[in-house]
Amino acid sequence: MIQLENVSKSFFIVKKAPGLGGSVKSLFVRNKETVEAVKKIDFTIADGEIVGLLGPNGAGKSTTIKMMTGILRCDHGRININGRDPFRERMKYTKDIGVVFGQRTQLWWELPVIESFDIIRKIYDVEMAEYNERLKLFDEMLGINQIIHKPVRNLSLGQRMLCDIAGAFLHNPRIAFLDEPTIGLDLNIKSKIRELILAMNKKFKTTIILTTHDISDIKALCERIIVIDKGSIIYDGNLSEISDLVGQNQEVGIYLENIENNQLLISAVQSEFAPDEVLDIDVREDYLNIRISNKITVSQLMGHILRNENIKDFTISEPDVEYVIRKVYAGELGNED
Amino acid sequence: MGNAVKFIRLNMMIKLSRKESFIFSLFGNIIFFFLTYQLWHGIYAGDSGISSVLNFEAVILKLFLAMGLASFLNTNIEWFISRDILSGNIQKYLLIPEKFYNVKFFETIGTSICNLFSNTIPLFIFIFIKFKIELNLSFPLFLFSILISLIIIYNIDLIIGLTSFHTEAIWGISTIKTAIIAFLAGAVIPLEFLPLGFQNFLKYTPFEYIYQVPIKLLTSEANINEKMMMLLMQIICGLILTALAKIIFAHSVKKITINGG
Amino acid sequence: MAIKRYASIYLKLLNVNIKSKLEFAADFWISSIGLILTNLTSLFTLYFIFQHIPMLGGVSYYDTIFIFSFFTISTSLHQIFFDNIWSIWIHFIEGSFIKYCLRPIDSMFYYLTESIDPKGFSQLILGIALMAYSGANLNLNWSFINIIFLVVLLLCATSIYTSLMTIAAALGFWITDPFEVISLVNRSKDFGKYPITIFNNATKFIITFVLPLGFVGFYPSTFFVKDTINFMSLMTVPVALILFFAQRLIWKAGLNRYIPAGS
Repeated sequence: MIQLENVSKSFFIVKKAPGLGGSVKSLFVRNKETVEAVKKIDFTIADGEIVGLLGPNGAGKSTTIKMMTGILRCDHGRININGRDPFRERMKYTKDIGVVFGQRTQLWWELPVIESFDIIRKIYDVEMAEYNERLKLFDEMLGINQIIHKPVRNLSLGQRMLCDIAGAFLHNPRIAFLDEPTIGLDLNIKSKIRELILAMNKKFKTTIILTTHDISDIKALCERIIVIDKGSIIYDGNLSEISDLVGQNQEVGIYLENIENNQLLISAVQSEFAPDEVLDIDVREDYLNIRISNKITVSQLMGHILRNENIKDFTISEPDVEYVIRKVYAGELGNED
Repeated sequence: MGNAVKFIRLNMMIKLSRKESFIFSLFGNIIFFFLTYQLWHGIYAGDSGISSVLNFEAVILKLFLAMGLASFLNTNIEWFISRDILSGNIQKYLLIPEKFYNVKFFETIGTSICNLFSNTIPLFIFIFIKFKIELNLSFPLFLFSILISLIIIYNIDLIIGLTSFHTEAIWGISTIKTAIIAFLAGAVIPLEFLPLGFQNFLKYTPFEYIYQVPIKLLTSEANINEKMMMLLMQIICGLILTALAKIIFAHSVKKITINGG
Repeated sequence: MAIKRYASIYLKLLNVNIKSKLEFAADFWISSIGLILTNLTSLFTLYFIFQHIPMLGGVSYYDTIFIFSFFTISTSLHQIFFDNIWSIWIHFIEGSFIKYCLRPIDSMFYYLTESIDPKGFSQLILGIALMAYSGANLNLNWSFINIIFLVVLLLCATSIYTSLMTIAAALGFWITDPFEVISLVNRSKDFGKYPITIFNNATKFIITFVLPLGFVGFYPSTFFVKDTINFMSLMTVPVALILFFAQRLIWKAGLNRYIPAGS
């Protein structure tokens, strides 16, 4: 279990005046400024959850991750993960976590991947039987047996990421911290990685903390997202609910044989559903645009409408997660569209 | 010409941007001079016959001049040239108006100027004060001569940089070059201590023209005509090496553009 | 047991590191030659000087060569196993050092064992050859006890130099780019390869008590080149231990307040 209580962290940055004069002055006088990177954040994550950690760059996201992985100490507050303080009990704590940093490899650069795996096995005291089983699983899901005899430096980005992810899960950690794991990868590899993450989560109840800017990652993996901006949490909850909060809902477009004969359909819909279920019905040039909230499903709506023979075709548009996230970043939580 | 100044300034700014490293570099060099001074002081401590070869002051003068010159000329540009080729960066240079050859030369100058401040000038201040060398006509000749030395060694570095294909290899070759040059330049031990036959042999190598000529221009008793002759020989050596380097460079560029880097 | 675990991990790392580095055979030979040449310039200096003087700071030719060889062996051992120190500035500048804090293994161990430098072997062999050469000419008694002392003192000397370099590297936790400090320690080490009797008192003091480079070559050698057991040579062991603990403390302190680059 992950528990952050009232956690804050500030940094000092030294301000230097521009130009040569400023540089010389800075030799004698240090102008320190405090930046509050993380301000009193609170959240709890249960075992087996897959949580997406989102936020604009410089929002305090990386700082939070670094505190959770035991690299930084928090200034105030408490961090309790798996019953330990990550910073103070680093040695014992890191035995139960796996980390992937998208930009840099956690494996030994000059050595063949399989040797890195073997070293990891020794470091984390993994039983030989479990180790072999895990390798088999990785090959089944990621197909890495062809590349694990190559040194990491000879791998392409995609191959390296597959190996890094495997390396992070090799010792069956209770929590996996994945920082931008799919950045720059092609769709094929992305989907393999996502499948592996879901498989590990399902089979071993591994908690997954995912930091990403990739919307499709979020859609595919995260039930819950925590959005951090300017050092504070601005949203913590389900992905589906967030759409409501920014006022973007599902929209169904109904194509009629004759758009003029819409009154019957409209009154049929309005009589069946409440105003907070069907939010509005808009007559467009050749279709009706019906906006529904998440209180009803599209199939409920369609089930009711399809009895009307006038329907030629229909379309459904999903809430656009990217649009939603952008709105959240822009601070428009709770605004109706 | 404006381009030249631009590149030189740029390279200097990069080198000087880390103030701490510059100061440490200066400090490290001072320690090294100190060590060398003490070593030779210890060597001359006894009542041995070593002063018959060279007296202590002469040793220090020659050694320090050679050391100062060696550090001035030590730009390690072969590293950057080698890296530019390995990374394919050199392609970029084939597009800009200023040629790769020239750009690297300007970078060399920039680095050398920085070396001047962190190494050569403190050393020379010490030498000039302790040995009261007169700044007569020889001094401008000396300055001109070290510029030629820079050109000569730049071309050698370029040739080395063009012919190395792995990072480890460039370290090895660069180290070999630095060690050999330092020793044969008289920067490790004054050449007067080496066997006579070997000294004569050295007179016909480029090392004579990189180090000995500038030093002799400054310190020897030869008259002005002989000194001009030495300078002329050095210029000829410089021209030969420039031609050689440019030929090898053109050949390498052809190979690179055909192979695609 | 912790030591067994670390030893097992280390042997594995050593094994695969050597295999990986030796793939570049040409590079190995070229850089080995470069390294040997650098040493030879110092050696030739000594050789040519001793053509003219009988003693250097009261130390004979073969004694001087012995001190030089002792120094060369201990610095070679450092270079083979701990050469990774030189790359640490890259990690500090790019903020990638955090990777060494994410596994349940000591970060310094993790970092230093990442690579080895096989070209150091050429220098090691040179040092051993020189020691045999000078030892033979000094009629040294290679008794079993003496060999034990030799090994212990060599390891202590290596440890002292490594500790000094590691302390310099650990400054990177505070100043971000420790490259020049490491470079400074590296250049100063040459003080240890000559008899320190040639230096003035101030320098002798610094080399003994402030930056104990005298214990990397000179002092431990005096165990063998003087007739009676030299007290200072035995001091090599406590100095090694003190520096080892100092370096661990400084590293830990640095790690505690380390703030990696990047938000």
